[in-house]
Amino acid sequence: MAVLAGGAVRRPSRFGYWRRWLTAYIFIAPWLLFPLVFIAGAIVLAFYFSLTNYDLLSDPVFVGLDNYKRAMSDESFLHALRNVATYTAVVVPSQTFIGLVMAAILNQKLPWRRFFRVAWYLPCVASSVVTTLIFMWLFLPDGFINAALNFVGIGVRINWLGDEATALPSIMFMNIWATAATFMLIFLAAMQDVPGPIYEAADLDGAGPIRQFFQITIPLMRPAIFLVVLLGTIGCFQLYDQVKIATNGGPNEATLTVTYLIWKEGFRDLNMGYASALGVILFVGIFVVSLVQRRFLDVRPDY
Amino acid sequence: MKLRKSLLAVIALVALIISACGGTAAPAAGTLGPLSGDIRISGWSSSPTEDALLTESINAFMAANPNVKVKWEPIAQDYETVLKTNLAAGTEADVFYADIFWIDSLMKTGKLLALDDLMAKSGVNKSDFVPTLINAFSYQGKTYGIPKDFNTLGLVYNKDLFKAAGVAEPTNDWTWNDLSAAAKKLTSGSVVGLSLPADAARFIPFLWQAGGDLNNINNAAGQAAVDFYTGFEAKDSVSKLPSELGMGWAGEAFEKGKAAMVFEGGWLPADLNNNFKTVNYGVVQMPKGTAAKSNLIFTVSYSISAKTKNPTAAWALANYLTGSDNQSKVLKAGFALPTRTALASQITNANSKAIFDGAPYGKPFNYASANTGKVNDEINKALESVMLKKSSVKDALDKLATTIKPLLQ
Repeated sequence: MAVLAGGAVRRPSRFGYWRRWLTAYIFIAPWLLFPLVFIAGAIVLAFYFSLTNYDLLSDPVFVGLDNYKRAMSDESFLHALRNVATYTAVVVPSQTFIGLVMAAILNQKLPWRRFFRVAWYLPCVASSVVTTLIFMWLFLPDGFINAALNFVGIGVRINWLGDEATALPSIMFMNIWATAATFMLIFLAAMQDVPGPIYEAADLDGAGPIRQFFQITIPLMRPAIFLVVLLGTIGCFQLYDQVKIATNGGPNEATLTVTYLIWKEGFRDLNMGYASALGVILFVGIFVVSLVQRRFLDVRPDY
Repeated sequence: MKLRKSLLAVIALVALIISACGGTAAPAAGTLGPLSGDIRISGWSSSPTEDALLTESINAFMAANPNVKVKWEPIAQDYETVLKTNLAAGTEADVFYADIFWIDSLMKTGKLLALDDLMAKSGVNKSDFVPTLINAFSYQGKTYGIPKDFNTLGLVYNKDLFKAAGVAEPTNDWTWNDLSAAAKKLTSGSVVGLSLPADAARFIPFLWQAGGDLNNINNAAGQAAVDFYTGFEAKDSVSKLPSELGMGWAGEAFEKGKAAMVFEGGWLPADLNNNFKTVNYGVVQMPKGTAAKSNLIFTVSYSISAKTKNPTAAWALANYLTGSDNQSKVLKAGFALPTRTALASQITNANSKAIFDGAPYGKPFNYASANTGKVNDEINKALESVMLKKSSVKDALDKLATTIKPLLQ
C-alpha cells in the first residue's frame, strides 16, 4: 500500500491481476456464499438425507434406496402424483390460452386499454394467501358461487372445497384466475417485440388479422410460449399454498399435492429422509418435463 | 398495574441489596440452595392476556430469586417443528412446553431431564398431581415433565335449542342411547343435533367407551364404536361434518347455532365467553359408553432440556409455575384447569368442573409412537369415508387396521 501511495508506476503484473481477481471475489463473496451454502449446500444435503432415516432428534441412519422404494408403494404419494398430473394437464393449457387471449385483446388499440391492463393484472399483485381466503368464502356451501348459480336458475348447494369431486377443480379454477394475468404480461411483452415490418408485409400480401395472429404472432412468440408453459408447469408441480390454506390436502387426499406431502412428511411427521427423497423425485420430474418441453417447443426465434 | 410493577421492582431491589450485602442469596425454593444464572423458557403464545399472565408469573419468580434471570421466548408458529429443530441444533431453551401428543419421541431419545431427584429435593410428590396427567409424562419410571394444565372433552350443548325442541338438558349420567335420542329430536331445518368431525381427537374416547383399543381397531368393540360415531351422519342424518356445514371446526358450527351439541374441550367455552356471549350453553361430561366411561386428555408439561447448564434454576422455575399459588392464579383468570388435585375444590364453575372431572377416568392423547400425526390421518380418512357413505364400517376398519399396524410399532 505504502509503495502505491508513494506513486509507484502501475503496470500490469501477475500480482496485480490476482489482486484484482481477489478484490472482485471479495466484493461478490456475500452473494456467492449465500447461494452456495443455502441453495447448493441444501440441495446436496437433501440428496444425502434422501438416503437416510432422519427425524431431527437422532442422527441420520443410512438406509440406501429404501426411501425411494417406499415412495413407489406409498399410496398417498401415488395419489399426489395423479392429482398433480391432472392439475397440470388442465391448468397449464388453460392459463396459457387465457393469458394469450388476454394479451391479444390488450395488444389492440382499444378504448380503456390502460384500465384493463391494470385491472386484469391485479389478481397477480394480491398475495396468494389473501386470494385463497377470499375464494374459500366464495366457495362456501352458502357462499357467493352457489348463490350466483341459484340466481341464474341452477339450484345447487355444492360444498366446493369439501367434496372430493369438486375440491381439485375448485383449486384449479382459483389458480388459473390468479396466474393467467402474469402470463398475459409475458405474452404482451413478446407480442410487442414482434417486428412491425413483418405485419406490414403480411398486410401487403393480403393476410387478415386472424391469419396474421396464427401465422405470424404465434410462431414468433414460441420462446415466450415455451417460457410460459415451462413456468406454468413448474408452478403446477409446486402447488402448495392454496392447498395448505384451503383444504389441507383433503377431503380424502383429493387435493393432496407432492409439495404438500413433502411438507407433511418433513415438517409435521419429521421424516426428513423420506421427505428429501420425495423432493429429489419431484426435482427429477420437473427436470425431465422441462427437457421434453424444450424439445417440442423450439425456443430459437425465427427472425 | 403500574404500582404493582414498581412494587415488584422495589422488592427485587431490596432482595438484591440484602443478598449482595449478606453475601448469601436467600434460598427461595425449598432446599434447592441459592439459585443463580440465566434461564430461557419457551412455549407457544395462546393470547395476549395469557402471555401477560405468564410474564407476570415469571417476574414474580425473578423477584423471589433475584440472581436468576429468566427470558421468555415464545414460538409463534409450528411449535413442535421449531422445538425439534432447536433440539437437533442444540439451541433449545432450558425450560419448554411439551405436548403429550408428541413428548414420547423426546423422552425416548434422551432429550429431556429426569426430574425425580429435583422433585424430591423440593418436596414435590407425584401424588400431588392428578395421576393420569403426571403419569402421562413418565417414561420407564422417570418423570420428564410437570403438567402445566390440561383439557378433556365435554358435551357442549345449546340450552336454547334444547328448550325449543322440548328435550331435557343432558346430565353427567347420560348414556350413548340418550345422546342418540336427543340428537334425533334436536335435528330440524338447518340445525343438526350434533356435529361430529372426522377427527381422531374426537372419536378416540368413543372407541375407549366401547371397550375398544387402537391396536385392534377392527374388532367387535372397534366396529361398534365406529358404527355409533359415524351412524349419526351416515345412518340417522342427525350430524354433519363441520366442513359440510361450511364451518372450519365443530366449535364454530356450535357457536353459529348450526349444531345443538358438540364434543369439545375448555377452549370452546373460553371462546364462547369471549366472542359469542349470546349463546346460552352448558357443558356436561361425555356420555357413558357401552363398556365404560372414558375421555381423552390433552395436556402440556413444563419440561427441562437434558443439556441445560442450570438444572436447579430451571427446575425451580418449572416448579414455581406449576406450584399451587401460580396454578390457582391461572385458574382464577379463567384460562386453564389446574393439574394439582388439591386445587380441585377451587373450581366453582360447573362447566369447568365437567371438563376437570374427565381427567380421572380419561386417557392421554398419545399413541406412544413416532407416527402420531400419520395414525390420526388414517383414522380421519376411515371415519370420513364411512360418514360420507363411501365405505362400510367393516371395510374401512379392516383397511385402517392394516395401515396403522406398522405405524404404531
